[in-house]
Amino acid sequence: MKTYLIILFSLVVVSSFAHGDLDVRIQTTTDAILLEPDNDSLYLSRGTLYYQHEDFMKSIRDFEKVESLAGPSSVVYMSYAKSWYKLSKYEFSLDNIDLALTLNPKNAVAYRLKGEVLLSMGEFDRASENYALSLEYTEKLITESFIELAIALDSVNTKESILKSINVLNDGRKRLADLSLFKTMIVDQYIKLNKLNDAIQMQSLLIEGANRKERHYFKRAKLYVKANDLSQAKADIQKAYESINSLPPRYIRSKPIDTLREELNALNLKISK
Amino acid sequence: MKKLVLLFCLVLFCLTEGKTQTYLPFGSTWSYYDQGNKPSRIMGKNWERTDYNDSSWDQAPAQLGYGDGDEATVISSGVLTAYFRIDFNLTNPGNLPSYDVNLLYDDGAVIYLNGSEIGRVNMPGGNPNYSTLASSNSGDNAQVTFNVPSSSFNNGTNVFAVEVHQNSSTSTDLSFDLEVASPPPITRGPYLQNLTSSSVVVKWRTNFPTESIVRYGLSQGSILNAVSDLNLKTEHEIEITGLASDSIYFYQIENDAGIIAGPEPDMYFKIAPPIGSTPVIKAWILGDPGTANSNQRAVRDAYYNYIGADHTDLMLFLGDNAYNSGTDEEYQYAMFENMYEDKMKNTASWSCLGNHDGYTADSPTQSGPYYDIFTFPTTGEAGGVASGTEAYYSFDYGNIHFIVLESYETDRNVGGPMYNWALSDIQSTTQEWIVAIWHHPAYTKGSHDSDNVNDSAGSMQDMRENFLPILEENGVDLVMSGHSHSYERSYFVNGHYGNSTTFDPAVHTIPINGDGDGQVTGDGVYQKNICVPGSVYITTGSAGKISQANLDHPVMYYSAASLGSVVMEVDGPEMNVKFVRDNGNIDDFFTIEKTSTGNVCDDGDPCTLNDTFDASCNCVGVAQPMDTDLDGVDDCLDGCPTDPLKIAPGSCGCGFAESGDTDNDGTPDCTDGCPNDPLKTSPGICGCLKADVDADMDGICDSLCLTDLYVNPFSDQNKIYEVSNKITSDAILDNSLYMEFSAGFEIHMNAGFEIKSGASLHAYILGCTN
Repeated sequence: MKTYLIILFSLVVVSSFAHGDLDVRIQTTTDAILLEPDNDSLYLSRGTLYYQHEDFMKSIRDFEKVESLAGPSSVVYMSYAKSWYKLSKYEFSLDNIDLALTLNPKNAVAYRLKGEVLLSMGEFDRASENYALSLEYTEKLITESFIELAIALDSVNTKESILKSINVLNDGRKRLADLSLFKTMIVDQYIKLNKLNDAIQMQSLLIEGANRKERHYFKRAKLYVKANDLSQAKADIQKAYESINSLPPRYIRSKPIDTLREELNALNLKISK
Repeated sequence: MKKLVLLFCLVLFCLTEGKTQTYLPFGSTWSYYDQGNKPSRIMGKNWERTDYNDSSWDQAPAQLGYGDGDEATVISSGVLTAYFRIDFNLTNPGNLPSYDVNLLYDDGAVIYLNGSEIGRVNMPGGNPNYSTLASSNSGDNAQVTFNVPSSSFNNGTNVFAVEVHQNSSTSTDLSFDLEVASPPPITRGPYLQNLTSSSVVVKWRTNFPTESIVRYGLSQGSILNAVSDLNLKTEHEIEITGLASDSIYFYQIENDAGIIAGPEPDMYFKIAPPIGSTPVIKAWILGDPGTANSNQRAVRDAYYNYIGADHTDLMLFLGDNAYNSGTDEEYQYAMFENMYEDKMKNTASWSCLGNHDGYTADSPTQSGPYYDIFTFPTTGEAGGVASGTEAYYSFDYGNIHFIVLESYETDRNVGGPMYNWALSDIQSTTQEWIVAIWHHPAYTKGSHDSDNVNDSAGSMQDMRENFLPILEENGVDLVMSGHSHSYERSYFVNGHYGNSTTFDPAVHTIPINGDGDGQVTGDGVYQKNICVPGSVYITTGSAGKISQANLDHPVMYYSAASLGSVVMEVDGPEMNVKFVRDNGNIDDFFTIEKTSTGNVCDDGDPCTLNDTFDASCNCVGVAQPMDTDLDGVDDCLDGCPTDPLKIAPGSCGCGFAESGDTDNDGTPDCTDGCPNDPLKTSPGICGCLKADVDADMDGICDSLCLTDLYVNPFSDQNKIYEVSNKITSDAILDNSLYMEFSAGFEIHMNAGFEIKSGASLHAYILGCTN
């Protein structure tokens, strides 16, 4: 018995540490609920705290209480949806997202969560449709807005979907910023489609904008090899070497650069043969 | 009667002056009633009503009261409650959303404006009468501000009625004064964001919608350039571009009506130095500061004392900047009001998202107070690779590249957008120093445990396992996080990505002294060899509160549950980091020094000296082909480099030929003190071939007792001489010395035997007693 108690105590301590002061805040909210048992906002607060505490079933129970006191709302449905998603109950999650969307058909957060749930279910087509709607309705664009949609489209893995993915990333370059992350993904998509000239063109843009160019030259060299343009490949290998040699010593001697140098040597050897 | 105080300060006129304006000043002349009872109703009207006839009351300038000696007018002492009234004029009060009513009181008071109560302080509830006592003793001249909506004021004449109550009938003082002023138009900031080597963002908040104008110049007396946004708003953000790097610009905040803040000597922005340049850089790092209490202020004050008048180049917030949930109001008191406002108006601040900030902020939608308050680079404008998000970003300052990651709710997986960006970013910098910050620490045994995968949703493990490898390999020098409310500082480490039990100092610390304290006064500064990656990790989440914990993570050199903040000072190839306690003590410090030449290593070859890394980071030494004893074996391989006959010391050592073992006792003759005695390897007290027997333990071998002995004038004195037969002596005993003779049959003193004064001779016919 004593052993069990000690183990139990240890678990409680670990659990308490694991979530900062959430236990205290949950208790404080519980105390407030005792004073105002019909205050729906208190249940919503506690449900959210339970969610942050990763007590998803308890959070769902509190959201149910909110719904019973204050009626349905987009906030409650989305709260349900997030908790069910965390519990891997994807269908329940989708049901609640759809209910939230009936109340607010332009809820970008809801579409994004739906995309995430569907991606987890392997339904890439539907996931990409919902990510696209999220992108359409979102108020503030960020990198992930485009990348998540592009990944979903890429996962569909048809020529059309990959082309769409490229379009999404190009859209991101225009509407958000000309990020190297976008361009790098576009290069990879073109490679998938075997559109080597387009890939080389995009890789050239990456080289142009980069502060350090060694890796970008190396990647373009590989693209030239694929395209059987060995003289351009050799030229890029040479430029990659030159870029490396122009780096400060601490970078020239780093392990990643060592690895890159070995890869360059190997590619150079392959071309020479 | 009615003394109408006409204050011809039109609201619009006041605003043209910009800053706080007073509509009813302290020291105004008030009507007062101090007759030891409550003023009687007149014409059925209570004393606090606007139209109450107070013509019978006395009038005098405030401060009114008694007992402190600072009153402009002394009223009757001994009253439990005194009553005050004043009329004043305010034109177009609706031009401001609210007004501050500042009350000076002792001990409690209730204020009525135009017949309605607008506030009370230190008073019980209910309708007070003359004998109602204040709730407690307020202290002398206590002050309180009531922010009163403009709708409570009349356009034209307004009447204040105030009753001031004593705390007890024995109280010896009473004080009262009151003013009406416009609240400060700026309620937050100004503060600096997104500082680059050519631009800065200035942000501030006003309590009414107005234009945004920043006027700036290279001296306080020449603030001529302006950037403006004439849209009316309360949240102001102005980006100023085209500025000269490393230059100081003074600035002031204006609206269309005039100046509302500045110019002041400490209202300036210092533009970042050119990227790659090497000025001395001073950064102040605050982890988990946001308690808004005296702990946070003590940490702040300790740093202010430390830095003195020197400029702080950067403030880095490590998240959990405002407890408990990072709300806008919590940020107000944890950052902008009575906290860091003096520093933030001339030092750009940067931050990563903490979990408490994340309770009200949302990284996917870039919304919530955290994202509203801060402005971070998203397009690489401050250096580094554009991230497209303020959740994670990078920037350069001088020769330092800062990488800021989001460890709370952004995808932390390898191959995720943040990971790909971080890899791309760190592989794009050529800066001398790389510093990374995020909230959830890779190593901690504080109020959080980085070994516990369930702690903080596994974020600490994710950051350690996924991000540390790419950061270390690509040259990160220092990583700082918060989350645990203590200070923990690591050795100089590399390649440790497991939990604490897998840490092996021999494997995971960096030669030559990475397992030391990193202190110039101790084990020496950490030498950041350009060929060996590695970093120091600091978990510093005690800028606002501390939590007791085990604090025993083996990767940490120093751990303490102490309030404090971190100071990082970079001077070219040297970085000094200090932990400044709330009491001002520097409890921990270390130095990292970049060494580009003379990178000492050990190539494992004994025939080389001065081993260093070559250009390819191979450890090589200078060969030493010397053969001093010309025996054909290089000194580096010769165990006896000066003995031509030997190349190893063997049993007899260098310079001595190896010998046999005559007595076969296992000890070669060259080291055997008794080479012919198989029982002894040294003579002992009885000599070789004799057993050491000394029954009386006097140091004389029992078997050494002689038959006869001659003790001459030169024999040792203070000594016992024993023989079995006869002692003959002509010794001369010197002053104070002695001899003892013991013979078996005879002791014979020859002529010349002498005992000098004070000397003694003891003679016994006993023979050998040993």
